Parts: sequence; C-alpha cells; structure tokens
Amino acid sequence: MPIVSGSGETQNKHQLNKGLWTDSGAPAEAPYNVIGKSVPLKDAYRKVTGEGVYTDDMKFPGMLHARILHATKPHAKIKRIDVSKALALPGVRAVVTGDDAANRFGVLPVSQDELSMAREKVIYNGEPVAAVAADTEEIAEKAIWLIDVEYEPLQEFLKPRDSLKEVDAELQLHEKVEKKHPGTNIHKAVDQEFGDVDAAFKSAASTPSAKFTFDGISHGFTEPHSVLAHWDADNRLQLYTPQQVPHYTHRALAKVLELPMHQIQVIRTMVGGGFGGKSDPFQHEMIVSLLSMRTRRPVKLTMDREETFLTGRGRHPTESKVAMAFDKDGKLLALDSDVIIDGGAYGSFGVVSAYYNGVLSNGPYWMPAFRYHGKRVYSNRIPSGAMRGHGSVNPRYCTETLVDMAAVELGIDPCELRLRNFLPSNTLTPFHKFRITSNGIREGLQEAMRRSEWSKKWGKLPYGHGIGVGCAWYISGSALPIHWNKLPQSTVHLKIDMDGGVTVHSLAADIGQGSDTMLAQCVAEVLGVNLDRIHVKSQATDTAPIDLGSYSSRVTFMAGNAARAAAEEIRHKLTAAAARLTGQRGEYFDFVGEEVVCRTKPDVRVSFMEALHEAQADVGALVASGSYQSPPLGSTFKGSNAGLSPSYSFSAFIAELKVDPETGFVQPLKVWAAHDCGKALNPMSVEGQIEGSVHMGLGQALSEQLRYRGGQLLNSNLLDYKIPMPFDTPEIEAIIVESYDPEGPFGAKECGEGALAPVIPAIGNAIYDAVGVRMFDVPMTPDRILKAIEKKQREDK
Amino acid sequence: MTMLLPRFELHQPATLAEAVALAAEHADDCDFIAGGTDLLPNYKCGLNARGHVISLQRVSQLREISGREIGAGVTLTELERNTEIPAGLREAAARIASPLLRESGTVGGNLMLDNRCHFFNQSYFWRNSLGYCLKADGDRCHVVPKINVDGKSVLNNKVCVATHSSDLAPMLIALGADATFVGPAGERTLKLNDFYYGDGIERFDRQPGEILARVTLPDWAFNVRSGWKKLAPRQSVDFSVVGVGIALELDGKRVKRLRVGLGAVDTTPVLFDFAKEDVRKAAHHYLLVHPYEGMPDVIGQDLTDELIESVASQVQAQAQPKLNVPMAPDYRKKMCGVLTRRLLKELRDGQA
Repeated sequence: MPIVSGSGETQNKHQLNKGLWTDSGAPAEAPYNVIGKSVPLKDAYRKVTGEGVYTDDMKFPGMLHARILHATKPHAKIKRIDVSKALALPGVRAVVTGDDAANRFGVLPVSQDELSMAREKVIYNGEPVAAVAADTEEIAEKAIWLIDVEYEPLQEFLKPRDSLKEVDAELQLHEKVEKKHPGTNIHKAVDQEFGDVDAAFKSAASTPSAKFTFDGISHGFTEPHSVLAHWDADNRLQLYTPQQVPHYTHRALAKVLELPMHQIQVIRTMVGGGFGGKSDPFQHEMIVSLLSMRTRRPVKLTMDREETFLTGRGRHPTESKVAMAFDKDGKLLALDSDVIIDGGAYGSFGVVSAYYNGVLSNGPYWMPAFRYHGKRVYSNRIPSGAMRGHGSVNPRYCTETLVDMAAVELGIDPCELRLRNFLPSNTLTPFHKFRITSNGIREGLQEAMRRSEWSKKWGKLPYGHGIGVGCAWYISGSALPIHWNKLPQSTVHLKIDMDGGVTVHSLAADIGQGSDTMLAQCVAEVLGVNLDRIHVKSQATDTAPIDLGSYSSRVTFMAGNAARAAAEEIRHKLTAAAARLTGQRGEYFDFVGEEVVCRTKPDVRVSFMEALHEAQADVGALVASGSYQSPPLGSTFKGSNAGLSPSYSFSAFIAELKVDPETGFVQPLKVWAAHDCGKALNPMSVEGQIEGSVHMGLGQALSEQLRYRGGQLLNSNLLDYKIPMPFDTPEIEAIIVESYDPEGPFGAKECGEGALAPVIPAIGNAIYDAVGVRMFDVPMTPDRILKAIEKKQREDK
Repeated sequence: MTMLLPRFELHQPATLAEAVALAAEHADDCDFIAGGTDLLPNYKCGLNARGHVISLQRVSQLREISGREIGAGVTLTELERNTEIPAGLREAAARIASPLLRESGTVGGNLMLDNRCHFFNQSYFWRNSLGYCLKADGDRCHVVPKINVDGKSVLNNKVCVATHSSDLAPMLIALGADATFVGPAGERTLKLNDFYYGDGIERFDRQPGEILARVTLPDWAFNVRSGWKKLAPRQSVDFSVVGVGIALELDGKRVKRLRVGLGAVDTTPVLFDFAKEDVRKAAHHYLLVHPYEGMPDVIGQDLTDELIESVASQVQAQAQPKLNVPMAPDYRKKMCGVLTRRLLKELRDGQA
C-alpha cells in the first residue's frame, strides 16, 4: 500500500490532534487503534455470502407487485388515459395515474418540477404515465399494456441548442425557466466574470482553445431501483428504498402525499451501488406509496435494467467552448468557457450542475481571471443529474487538455507546467474565496511522476505508445445544505448499555462506499475499543438523527466529525468514571486496547467494561449526540455558495497506453493514481475507491455513451452500454497522499469522487503523446480516434 | 422485476428421434434450445417467442467431437479446449461472449444465432415506442427505410437487414464445413455456406422440423493455416461487429487455397473463395454482398504484401455493414480490410 506523507507547504501536522488524548504533534505516528488500518467493510461478509437483504429480497404477507407504464413518446399531449381494461383484469388491485398526485417535487427546492406520473403531457420517452399493483408481477406487466393512452405529439427538443430558443408556452417543458431567458427551455443560466479576462488573453504567450462534446453517461450501478411501500395498520407509511439520501426522499414524500413527515418512515435498504443515481427523490418511490395507500397492502416495485436507464440522472451531455491563457513561463492567466449542458426532462440537481461546470474550474490551479457562461437546458431526453464527480468531470477534461496543449506549445513539460500553477495549501481562491486547507497535489504528482518514470517516457515513447497526465480537485462535502435551515449537516447518536455494545445511529447512507465502517472506526478510535463492539444503525428515519446523506462526498468529513464528537462526549463520562474507580482525579486517561489507562501511571488502569458500568451507575445506558456544521465560508456575491466546501481533495494521475493506429483501439496499460484524501482512515477502502474511480473514468473516456435515436435511448442494457470489462481495465497503482486536513476527522477528507475526473484527461493526453491527435469528443471511441489519426495524416502530407 | 420470460412448455427429449417427433407435433409453435444464451434473452424481450421449447441438452448424440465431425451440442468451451480441430476454429470459439456464457453456449446455437439489430433487440416497451419492425411485430425496416425496386425508391416492407453475428459460421465456411440436419425426412447434408441464405428474417435454409446435428470438416481443413480476428467494442462479452476467418494453404510461397469468411457485416456470413468455386446460390434480397465481383486472381500467385493488399481491398470493398449494431458502418467496413490484411500476414509469416 503506497502511502505518501504530505510534507513541505502542505504539512498541517501542527493543526491536527487538537483532541484530548494525544498531544505528541505527530499524527502519522499516533498510536491509533483502528484509524489508518485496512479493515474489511462491516457489510462485506453479508454481501459476499448473499445474506445481505436488498429491497428486492423482501417479502411481506399480502404483498402486491407494481409495474409502471412509461411514455412511448418524447413530447406529447395526453389526450386521454383509459385504465378500465387494466382494472378489469383479474388480479389487478389498483391503478394510479398522474391525477392521483398533483404536487410537484424535486431534490432542489428551486426546481420542484417532477410529478409522480405525467399529467396533461409527457416530456420524455420513458416518463412514468400510470402504474398498476397486482397479485403478481406477470399480471401487473400484462395490465400496464391494457392501459389505453392517446397522445398528440408535440415538437421535440432533442438538441440542446434548440432549447435556447423562445417558443410558445405550449412548447415549454416546464412553467418555471431561467428568469434571464423567459419563454425558452433554459433551466438555469450562470454568468460569472472575475478579473480582466480579455487583457489576460491579449498579453498571453499561449491561448489554447477548443470545442468539446461529451455524450451523456449512466451510473451503471449493479442493483436496479427497487422499492417497497407499506401503508401500515397505524396509518403510517413505511418506505423501503435503496436511497443515498433518505432525508430528501422523506421530505418529498411528505409534500407529494400531503402527510406530516413523522407519519412517514423512510427505511434505507442495502444499496447495490449508487454513484449519484440514487440521490434524487424518485417517482417510483411516490408511485409505490400511492399504490400502497390505495390498497392498504405492501407494494413492491423492482425495475428492470431498461427502466433504470430511463430513470436516468447520469452525467449531462455537454457542449463546451473553452479557452485558456498562459504566459511564456506557463503561468496560467485566465480561463474563458461557454458551456451548454443537456438536463433532459427535469431539474434534478441541475442548478448545482450549472454552477459546478464553471466554478469548479477555479482549481487545482491558481486562476487569476475567470469567465464562465453556463446554461443548463431542458430537453425531451432522459433526465440528467448528479453522477460521481458531479459537475467537475467534463470541464476538467477541457481544462486539462488545454493545459497540455499550452505545455506543448510553450515547450514546457506538462507536469512541470502543472507544478508551476498549483494552488498552495492554506489559502483562499481569489474570487470565490474557496478555502483551501490541506493540499497534497504537489507531492501526489511528483510521486506519480517518479513511479511512472514520467521524464523517461513523455515525448520519448515510440509511435502508438504514450503517457499522459491529468489533475483534479473536488469538494469534500457541500458546505451549504440544499434546504436552508439551522440544523447541523450531520448528527450522530451513540448509545452504550451494560452489554458493552456501542450503537451508532446515523442517517448517513452506506451505499457501498463504506460509511458504516468509517463511523464505526471513528467511534472505536475515540473509545479505544475493538471494531466488533460497534454496531451501526443507519437505515431508518425513526431512529437515526438527520444526516444529509451520501452525495457531494460529504459523509466521511461531516458524519465522521459528528461521530467523533459524540464519542468524545461518552469518553468524558468514561474518563470521569475511571478517575472515580482509580482515585486518580484530575489525571489524563488514554483509551487504548479496550482499557482506560492513566497516562502518568500506566499501571493504573481499568477495563473499558469496568469504566462503562461505573459510568452507568444511576443513569443506565450512556447516550450522546454529536454533530457537524460547516463554518461560514466563501464570498458574498449571488451564486457564491456553489462550490463551497470545508475542504477539498486533490488528485494527480498518470496513464500509460497504446493506440492501434490502424483500428483506433486504445489499450490502457497502467494508471498511477495519486489522490490526497487527507488521512486514509481505512487504506483498503481508499484504495478501492481510487480503483473504482479509475475504472469508471475509463468507461467514460473510452466506451460509455448514451446513444439515442430521436428521443429513444438505443442502448438501455448492459450489453450495449459499454462498461469496461476486466480485460479492458489496466493495472492501477493507487497512491494515497496524506495531507492531514485540519478540520477533517483524524485529518480525513473525501476520496470517492475526486479521483474520477483526472482519469479521462490523463487518457486523452496519453493518446496525444502516442499518436499526436487531440481528442475533443468524449468518449474517445476507436472510430473517433481513427478519424482523428487519418485527418492528421492527411494534414501532415 | 427482471424481465419476465413468457410462459412456454419445455420438452426434454433424450434422443434426436424424439426431438424430431416433438418438433413435428408442434410445427410452427416451437423453438429448439441448447445453451439458451441467445434464445432466452430474445424471449425476455418478447421477440417471436413460441409456446413450446424443445431442449436438446439431453440428446447425447449431439455432444461429441470425433474426427472431422463436431456435434451441434458441443459447448463453446469444449470447442475452445479441443486441440485436434483447426486453430482458427479454436480461436473463434475462444473469443465468443465470456467464459461463463461459453460454458452453456453450443456450436449449434452459435450457428443458428438469431440476427441482431438495434431496432430488434429491444424490449416490448422500446419497440412499441418505435412502432415495431419487419423482424418482429411490424411491417417496415428502420435501418434501410427505402429500397430500390424496378428503379423506384419504395418503402422497405420486404427486406430485413439484421446482422448475422455468429463467429463460428464465417470460420467454418472458410474451412469448407458441411452441415448435417436430421428431420422428418431423415438426414440432409449441405455445404454450410449454402445453408446461410436470405435476409435477416429468413437467414437460412432450414426445412420445417429439422435439427442441426453436426458439422463436418473436409480433410484439407486439417492441413491448412487458419486463424480468426474479431472486432468488438470490448475484449469480452460483446458480439462481433466484424469477424474475419481465413483458411490459407500455401505451396511454397504460392497460394494453393485461400478462403475468407466474413462475419457480422450482412444478413449472413459471407465467403470469399479465391478459387471462385464455392459460390453459393443466389440470394433473394436486394442488399447482398457480392464477393466474386472484381475478385483478384490469387490462386497460384506468390502471396506478396501487394497480393495481400488486393485481397484485403476486395473484402473491404464488398463488405456492406449496416448501422444496426454498435460501431459506425464506414468504420467497420474499413476494419474488414485491416483485419483481413493483418490475419493473412500472420498466417503467411507464422508456422503452418
């Protein structure tokens, strides 16, 4: 396991361990119990043995099965829906349509534009129109095709540029559009300009620019959406759902069903992968709830793969025009970008996406002048949303490609040019005032260069063989909650009874990223106990205190800090009890190896259980609550909230590959992936996140794309949607960089998303090194690469 | 829910005779199944599903490889691991789908693979949105919407251009295999190359109730150099979007025999027999590749780089891939030439 310690300017050791139990000032050598150790995830055995219960495994007595009828037109008025034949089919218990739920919802309060099922018109091919609950899936499937829907087709908006035009009200996909562009299908426009961009371009020695296109991509998680609703005998709704963000679903259900939140319990079931694709409140969650309330029976719905694709929320198809300016020494002077992202049918997280596509270009390099015009448009396509690396991945490809072009033009090694421009640690970015604390990108890039033997290879490998670099940064938790309120972003409760088990209650959703294990490690570390004492309950809203859930790479930073705070409260009580038992009042106690040890007299010690029972005298179970809330951050201009985070992760990747110049096929050979996660709480898990990110980035780089024919998605299955297979995946060397974040729990920050973005430009830049062509269209499929090679050959003649 | 299989009655005969009798009994309402790796996904999409499915898994007669004969029930894994058969056939088998699928997939199943098209291999919902197509439930082709009939451009309600994606078929026709069927009228043997025939719906010359029993290689197939190259988006799982199988016999430097089987660029595999002998009967549809048009003289010539180039150009020029499977047709057409050239050079320069 390669671990590089941060050093030099990124060192924050002096700021770490403000906690009570060590004051050595040397965190790397701190006698951690479980932090920094590779431990298997807490649910690993359940997953491997098949014991884990996913929603689709659940069966309730009297349970009904639901199927959804999806729109078969991309844009059309609904003239008539007749459900009588479906209702008459034996075994059908209920049919619901858009008329059964009028309230709109959506993950962002500013974009409440989704209906449980379409009313009056459909706006994408695949939109839910009606649903059936029946005794069996087979009957439900038969019944949906007995529902008679008459459509009157409307003009379709399938190219993002068509959505920029002013149209009749009838052709607007949503009533509410961008205020600056009334009468259009523009959902959100962001215009920002800071510094003198034009002057920077005039004075520049190199001004690379290009037009880029990115096809839409899908998360490709393993478990299709599967939900189960039960309107129970107590007139409460129990919703079982593999949600990344149970809290937002909870809010949306209350709004749509017009119930007080406490009358609803959302129970997060095991999540078979999310990657952002399970973070919106969903129509199918509303639909099973409506069907259960109608029938008073449990109703389950498991989607097939095609429906999962149609539910969408993948990365936005994007068209970008980007230019950068550099002086003769390779110092970055300015960025000018103009971006249109295709949001598809709904708002989803799109307002955030519209901002992120611009503002997240203000790192990892110092940006002295910045102009961004971004538009997110509605179209009659599958809704786009948040996907791993949300809003940062496509613009990162653009900037990293242009940085590479500048390096070539100026005759500077691309890694060297990057090293000259990195943001320093402990600084604010000039305009948005993003607070950069720990930053190990310099060490990361240098280590990746050393291991890949970069300087022996770049520009020196034979034709068809190349090496390339890409760097990135990412937020470690969005600093502002989606819903404005005064609640903390994360709250964690602990309960320890006389049995010695520590129950951790949190609504942070373990979606396979290992957050339950992370919470357990943070608590076990503070209390000095073994991990198997810690039992994490992170499913049900009745028992778990609110956490904003698993998106924006916030969980380790925020929930981890909340868990640590709660455990410290318990620790105070145990310290007092140990002092009482040993008569060592006023002494400092260490919590190590399930013992409470007097620091100045190590022979004086009591077991964890003895201290616990003493502390419980007269009060019973010990309980504690800890929380985390980001400090005030950022600038004050309108829209300055987007991109704020209490900390940022940094990555520097190098990829080596071969290109077959006759077929255009790319064979990735190796990726050296250096990622600064602050402190690896569980190195095995961090390594897994880095490897997963590389694999996922590789898919977007080379083969994954949502292909359409008109409004119809052509490849909504895992045979035709080309996720790389093991043979297509190179060796990955994960390099963990530890920069010890001053505010992260035990110095940690995110590692689940930021490590994706650098993969794609590293591959693009390596293709350039191999065969001399710049790829401006992603994915870089063999036919696109071959076309570029042939074009270059014609030009070279 | 995963996609549900439509209901059907499963029959499990133990002998070929029983299977033939069952097929006669259920006539138009039955399919044969061996590994099921092609048939069942299509059934789940509701594609031409039948009420009766006759499993050939228990018919042990089909499961043998002996001498020149390969039983239709031999699995792709068994084929891949057999060291007696020509190298090209082993290579072709080894690149089909994935290891797991090759455990169940069979020789017969691969040869009888249904043609593929991105307007056909879709769910009922998807095809309903489209308005269906010629090959299932509809009356028009969306890939080639218009065709030329008697000099006039008319709506294509006749010819299906779904792509034949079998990997074994082009390799076996290059190796000159015969196919033997057992049916109500007894055994029938024909050239595998003649078996493939027609458009994306008709696909081949199978008589009602016939079962493919085995393929038989000629003696010469064991004395030639043979090889296989496959183009597919990923290195496993995917169907070919171009497949090239070559049988090459050299007399010194001179070409004695050269047969190129081209897959996944038309409704059937296409044979380029450079001896111009193995010419299959004329197909009825409008869009077929014409392998013998402008074919260069190759037999008896030295297999120089230039000659290889002209062979590759012929294959590329005649290939007519359609926009109905992954990867663009113009790209796939080009790759027909690239793969042919590479494979031919490898076979010439390698050990026989």
